Amino acid sequence: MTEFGEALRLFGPAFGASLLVALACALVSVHVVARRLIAVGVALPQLAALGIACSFVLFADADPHAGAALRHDVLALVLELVGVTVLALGARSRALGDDTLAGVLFVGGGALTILLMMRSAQGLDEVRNLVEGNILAVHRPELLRLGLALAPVLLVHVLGARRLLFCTFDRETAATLGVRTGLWEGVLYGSLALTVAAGVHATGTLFVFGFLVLPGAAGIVLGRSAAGVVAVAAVTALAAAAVGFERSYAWDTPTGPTCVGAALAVFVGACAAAWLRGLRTRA
Amino acid sequence: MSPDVGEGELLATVAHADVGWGRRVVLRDVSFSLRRGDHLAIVGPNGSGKSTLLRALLGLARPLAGDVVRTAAWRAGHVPQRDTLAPLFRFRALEVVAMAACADSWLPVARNAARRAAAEQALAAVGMADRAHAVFRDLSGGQKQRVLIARALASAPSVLVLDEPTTGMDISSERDLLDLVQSLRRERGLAIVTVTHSLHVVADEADRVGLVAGDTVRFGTPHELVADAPLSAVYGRPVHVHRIHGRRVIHVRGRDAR
Repeated sequence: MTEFGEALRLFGPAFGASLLVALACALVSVHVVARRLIAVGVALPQLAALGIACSFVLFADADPHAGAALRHDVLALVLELVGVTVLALGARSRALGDDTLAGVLFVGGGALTILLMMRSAQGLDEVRNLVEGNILAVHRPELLRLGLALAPVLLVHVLGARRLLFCTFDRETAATLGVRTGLWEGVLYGSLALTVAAGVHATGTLFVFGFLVLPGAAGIVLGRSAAGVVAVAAVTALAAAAVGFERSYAWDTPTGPTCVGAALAVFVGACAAAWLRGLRTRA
Repeated sequence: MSPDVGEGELLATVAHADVGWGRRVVLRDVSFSLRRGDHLAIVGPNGSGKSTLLRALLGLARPLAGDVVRTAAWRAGHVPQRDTLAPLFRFRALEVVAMAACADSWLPVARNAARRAAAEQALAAVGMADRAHAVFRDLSGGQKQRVLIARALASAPSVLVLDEPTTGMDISSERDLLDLVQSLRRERGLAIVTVTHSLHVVADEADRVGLVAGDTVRFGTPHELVADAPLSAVYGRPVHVHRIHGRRVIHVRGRDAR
């Protein structure tokens, strides 16, 4: 058995989790990048991490094996909803730019996460896990829970791809043609929140943020059609998660950062390919 | 002149409507109707509420008072401002047009051939068949506008609603676009609603003008409203309308000019 085959035997559920989260993030990332929601994409994973930190502190005396994962996910979602509400109210008042508010949420969430985790029994090791992710700690039950959480995300982004893309490209015209844009906007932001909440708990904030940006960016740079953009994003995410996972085992490096590094390499490759294609077109 | 002068099939009626943002009323007591074959141009200064009125007509915003009633024959082909579209996507022209043709379809592969055929026909109707596979964002302003009109046509509209259709175009592209809109109106019996800053666009193309003046809209013919006195009053500076070879030319003088 090869070294990677051995890794898969030991960490099969972890490998599946990284592919699942990467794919869900990639499908959402097309919209995050096209709508210029990158700052929101940074803030939400941090708020999800803060939710998990709150869960550690609020339920410090609870049995860690009885519903801990559910508590983490629910509090992560609650904090994300708070963040989305703050961003929506801020956008309506127009007193500050969206980026500024998202920045405030990011730094506030980051600082509070560290301060809260200092009070938990596990301390800074848990903070490190939240940031870098501890994908290798995902076992079959966590993978099943992750699958149940992310299945709706994958479903709506496949079945509703056309309408989601229409809303992202030109929401007003979609509305005039009878597309229920309010519903689809809700579906998009709901899938973003769900992906981040479930993903951060399993893979860490860096993994989720990295895969909320890089696959979509690679798709938009390299894709030559709507289907092409989505396909490049999905392939980028799956390839980067698989290669990153394999390399992290071979090099004995943290899985999350290694996967994000692989996604970055694919993105740089996509930029280079698009540049060469542009040169050839002009020639 | 009455705000309802056409003879074609009734498409929409706006009755004593107040329109605005949130609870803020921008335009009060607006009344007009739209029929097949009409060409209504809504003009006025920046920020006067032209687009707000358009949103109410399209059903994107509810009037704060009064009614906007669209009949069963109403089907809007919306041509938005090009700058409002997500500029990062590398959609092909054909895909942009197919968006409208597939708006009532759910599944990703449903009615693919029919949608594609409808989109191709619409592109051909605006003279863009040979650019079907070009990336939309790489097209010129005039070409983008044609693709957006094709997208509007793909939804089989009874009314074409154009928001600032000629902004940023050179004079040749502008003329081509105006000719295209007029030919679509003639050949398909479409009603046309144009929101624009360009008074010369409406002066010789539209048969009715809605001139936004303060918080009201005055309706009339181009002859009545695209004239020295009403335009000078609305824009707060001397505006002169001349006729050269039968077409109106609008000249705006500085406030201090004699």
